[in-house]
Amino acid sequence: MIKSMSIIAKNKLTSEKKIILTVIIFLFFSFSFLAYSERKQTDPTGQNSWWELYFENPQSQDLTFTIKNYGKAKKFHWKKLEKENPVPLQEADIFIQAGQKSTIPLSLEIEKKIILEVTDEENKKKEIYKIIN
Amino acid sequence: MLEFIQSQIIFYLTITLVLFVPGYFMLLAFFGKEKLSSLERVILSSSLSILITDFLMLLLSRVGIIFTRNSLILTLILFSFCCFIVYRKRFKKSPAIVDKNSLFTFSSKQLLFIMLVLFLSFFLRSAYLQNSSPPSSTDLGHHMYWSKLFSETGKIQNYTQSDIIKENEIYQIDSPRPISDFVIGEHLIFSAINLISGANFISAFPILVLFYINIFTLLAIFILSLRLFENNPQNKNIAIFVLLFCGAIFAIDPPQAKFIGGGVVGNIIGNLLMPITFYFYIRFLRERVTPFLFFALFLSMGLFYTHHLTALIFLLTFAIFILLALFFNFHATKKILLGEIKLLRSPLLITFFLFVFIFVFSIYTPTYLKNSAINTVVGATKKIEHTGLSLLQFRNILGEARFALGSLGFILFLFFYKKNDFKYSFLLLLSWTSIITIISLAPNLIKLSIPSGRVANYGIYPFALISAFVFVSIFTQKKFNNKLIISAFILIFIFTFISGFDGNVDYFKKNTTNKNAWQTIQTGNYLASKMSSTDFLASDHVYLIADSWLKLFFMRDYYFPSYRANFERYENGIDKHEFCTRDMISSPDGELGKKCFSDLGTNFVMVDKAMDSMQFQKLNNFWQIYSNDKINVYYRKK
Repeated sequence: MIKSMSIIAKNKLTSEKKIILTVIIFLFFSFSFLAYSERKQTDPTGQNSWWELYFENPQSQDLTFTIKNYGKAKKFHWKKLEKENPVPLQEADIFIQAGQKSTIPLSLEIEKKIILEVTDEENKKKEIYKIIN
Repeated sequence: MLEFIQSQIIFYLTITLVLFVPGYFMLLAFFGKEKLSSLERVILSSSLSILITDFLMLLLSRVGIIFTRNSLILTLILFSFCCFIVYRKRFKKSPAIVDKNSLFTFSSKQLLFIMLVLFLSFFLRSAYLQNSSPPSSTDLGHHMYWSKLFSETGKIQNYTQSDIIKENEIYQIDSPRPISDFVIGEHLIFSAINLISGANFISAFPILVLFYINIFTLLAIFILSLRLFENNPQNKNIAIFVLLFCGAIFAIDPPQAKFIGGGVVGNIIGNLLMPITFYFYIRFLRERVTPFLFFALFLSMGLFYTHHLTALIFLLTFAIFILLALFFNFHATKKILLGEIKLLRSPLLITFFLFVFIFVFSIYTPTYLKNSAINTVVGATKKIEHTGLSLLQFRNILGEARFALGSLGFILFLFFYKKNDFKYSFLLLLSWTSIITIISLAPNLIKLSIPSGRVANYGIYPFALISAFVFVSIFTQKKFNNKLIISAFILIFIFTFISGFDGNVDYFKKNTTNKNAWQTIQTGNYLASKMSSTDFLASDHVYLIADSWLKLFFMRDYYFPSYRANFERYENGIDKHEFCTRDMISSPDGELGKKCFSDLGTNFVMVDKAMDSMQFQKLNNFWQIYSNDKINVYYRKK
């Protein structure tokens, strides 16, 4: 870098034009670096390793839920649980690609606290619930 | 990838159109290729373009032309084209006298040093700022709400805010009241860039624009230094060290990269406009060329449309400058005043004053001039952060090296003032430094109630100018022993470097801010898609990162979503007079919490998973409807 700057410093352009050129080049590289860095950070196939879990219809009694994966492709295991009952009412595995989401339709059969618990390959767990009485 | 490259190209073209082209052509129309060197023209173009874009947009809004991509591109190009026509008419016949000023001719060693300093300045800022994307700063989120509002509605809107009030024992949202916290010039350039380039507000783009402005501030200080010390044989070396003291060392501390990442928009733009304004005043005072005064006045006006604190500091500095100038030339006071009054009769300046009059009274009046902001600033200090800093705090803000060298220079200036050598430069630096020091250390002396820490940050530039002057002046003295000089130079240089980079290492450590900010943004996305206009959301500012950006998803009002503020704001008796926003999150089952939920109709709550979920999980009337690593969202059943 210093060598190339030294070459620019010695060539035939006037010194103020060399300063202008240097600023433009540095601006271009800095902006590109920051924009690319942002793109990488928000790219689901990049280094992210998080996911979100939510109800599709948060205000109704419908239990349809979605898992959205912002990390690399992985397998998730979900369970539909009733409050204070460790035996799942329903459960299944689901594979979700990086940056993709999967919606699982579920309906309400009993009026109680129904918990949807999702675990990923690294054993990270999240849950959402609705309480119907 | 192709889409990314395409969006980048459009963004660079937009930046050039909004933040460079109008100013460049305006300078051409006034000066042709005379009076200003290429470097000066490029640096001055950026600050002028900010103001030209602002004023053109205010004008468009006043005549009812909606801001769109086409209307903005057309207006900016039309303005630049008109300036170009004037340039061709005025300067076509006269041969271009290119100002081959030796002031801007550097040796290859000096040039290499400048490039290295610039490289360090860019590198350190970029390395720090990669953690600021996606944006998480609270201030920037607030600012971008207004920019997005102007973009979406296509016109200027009033700065208003609603709040939670208690009326007839019922909590409710009151009708919007005008607020003075924002100034129009802080927001319009972002709206213009968003509309023209299509860049999303919740992206790196606002940070990149602030980065651009900050870099041009360094360059502005560089050319100001060259002009201030024009008569000094070491002027170029002084300017290079100014660049080092502002750009490379202390590159992260406020008001540099930390202000960019923190979205302190007004200060950043103000820090560019103020030195440029001084630049034009100094050139006018030395060369008596009326267009220099025109640009100085134009930029002064622009300051008042951009940032009130910067405008106030500028005004006070300028007032002291005039007093000192008259004091040091006491015998010629009458002659000076009469001479200046005569100049004000020039057609260019009369036209300008007419423009100011029409603009302020019939196009747009800055909000803080209409509201009660002035009354809250003038008077006894009320808040603890307004009562002045200790000398140690002041030193820490300025940086040890700059404080030491700057103070030494200040004393040297007082004792060894030579009028002819530093005509006006000395007076300007003295006024600039004094006013910032007084407001920072003892604001009560001039009865001003403004945040002392914020003001101290303005001191970095005049202190850097004086420090560089002292540094270079000392080490170019021929009367000292050469070896002694070199050893002392290396010693002070190392001290300055270590002091300048001290603490910066922590800034570069990998942090989780962007991951957390991204999760807040995705939660905002989810809620915006699931909530209707009758739903009401309460959020939290204490533990959630980037919560101020949530309002950009809803664009319902500046107050929406309501948020729990930092706890001390409920206790200081000044900031917060309602406790609904606190209790709806801290104790949703408490008497006040329940009443606030019921009165305000709040049915969604967004909180930090680890810190605030517990109190909601105990309650049967709250459903946990959303969860990610950092955040849980609850829905309150009706």
